[in-house]
Amino acid sequence: MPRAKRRIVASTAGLTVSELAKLNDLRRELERTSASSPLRWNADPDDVQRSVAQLVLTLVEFIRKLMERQAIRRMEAGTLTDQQTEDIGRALMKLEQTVVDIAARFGVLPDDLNLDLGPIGKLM
Amino acid sequence: MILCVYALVSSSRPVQRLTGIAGEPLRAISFDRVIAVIGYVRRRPAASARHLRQYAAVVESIAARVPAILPVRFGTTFDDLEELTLVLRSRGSALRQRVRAVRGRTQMTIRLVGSDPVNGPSRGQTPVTSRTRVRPRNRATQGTQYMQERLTMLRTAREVPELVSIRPAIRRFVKDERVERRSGVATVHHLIPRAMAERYRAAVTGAAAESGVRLIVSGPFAPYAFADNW
Amino acid sequence: MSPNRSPRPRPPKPPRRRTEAEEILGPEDASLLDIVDNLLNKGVVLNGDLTIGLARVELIYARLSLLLSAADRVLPGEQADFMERHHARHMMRRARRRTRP
Repeated sequence: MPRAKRRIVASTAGLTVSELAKLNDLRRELERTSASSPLRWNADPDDVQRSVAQLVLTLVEFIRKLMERQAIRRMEAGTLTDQQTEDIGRALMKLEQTVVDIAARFGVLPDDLNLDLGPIGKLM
Repeated sequence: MILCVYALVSSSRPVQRLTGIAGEPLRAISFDRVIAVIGYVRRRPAASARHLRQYAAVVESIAARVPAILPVRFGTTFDDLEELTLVLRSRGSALRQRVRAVRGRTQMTIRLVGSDPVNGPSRGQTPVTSRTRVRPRNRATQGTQYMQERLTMLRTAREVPELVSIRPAIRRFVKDERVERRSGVATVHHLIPRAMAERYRAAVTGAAAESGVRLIVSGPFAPYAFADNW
Repeated sequence: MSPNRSPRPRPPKPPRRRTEAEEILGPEDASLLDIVDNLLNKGVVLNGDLTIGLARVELIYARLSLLLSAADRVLPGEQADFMERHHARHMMRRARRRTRP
């Protein structure tokens, strides 16, 4: 076993007890979310259509959000032309509206479009 | 036996004579200029406190010997080398870029408690429902307006107002930053030159004391938070 | 009056006190938050697991080797980090200011 270099944690003098407790809460929350089996899809047999719609639209929205994030980074970095920015922005808007509209038709609320996607979930 | 991946590094030689969490000898395998540090173990390690500390120690022991390291998430195992090869070959270019970006650098972490996100939910999450559609848009530029709005939301999510008084003291050290808000705690990771860890810490605690900001600073760590570039 | 020259005394090293966090969370737990955060919430993600089921019965277990890369990390010619670019802009501004008469 390699001997680890000792890591120093700065003195927390000044932090209140409740603040320290909050840090402990954070640790437990992180442990909890990583312990739960990340990606799980289980179709409800009584409403298979809705389950399928929810899965499909969540994945579409996930990809849309990925594209949006990447596009915004490119805009920020100046590697998109004005026309590209306009075109991409318009497409992202329309895509989002489409997702919401189709979801509504299957009784899926916008807030339901949020499967826990495990390790890549933090991108949402 | 399965393959446990500990880290991606820039140079393979110093890895000899290091051991992994099961005491197994570590090996460095090169995949088209991405080098993975692996060990063969019997089973996927469970996330116990003991295993986590062991894994962290292994990563830091590797980090001490190489100029650039990307730690791999705990418990990353592969059934065989072929699958790992496929993954690293297809992502090689992006991973090499990340390894370059962390070369000679280390991670310091600042945590502030009781930070409410300035605008909306945490971690930059933007639920579909929270779009403001009320404002009328010029039809010709609505795409651009949309993008600007999203950029503003992203920048706001990255902001940590409590750090405003601290930033001048550390600006010269910070090469990159990641912000995360979760469970009422704002966490800021800074990528800094390895040799500057103690100076950074002194600057942060000094500036915090001056401006009465309560925070906790920890590190140096291998650059876990800078493994991606999203 | 010549000053008394003596070697500057070194301040005595204070004994290492347990931090408040250690008092409350225990000496090990003081850094467990960082370890948990770094190891379970960060780091390179190379694969993931998915279980697929029906009627609350898990039927399929799949390993996903994630192949996501941002396009401009893969295509040549795109500059990398925003911070690096920001820094480069800052350095250019500084250089310009220096050469201004």
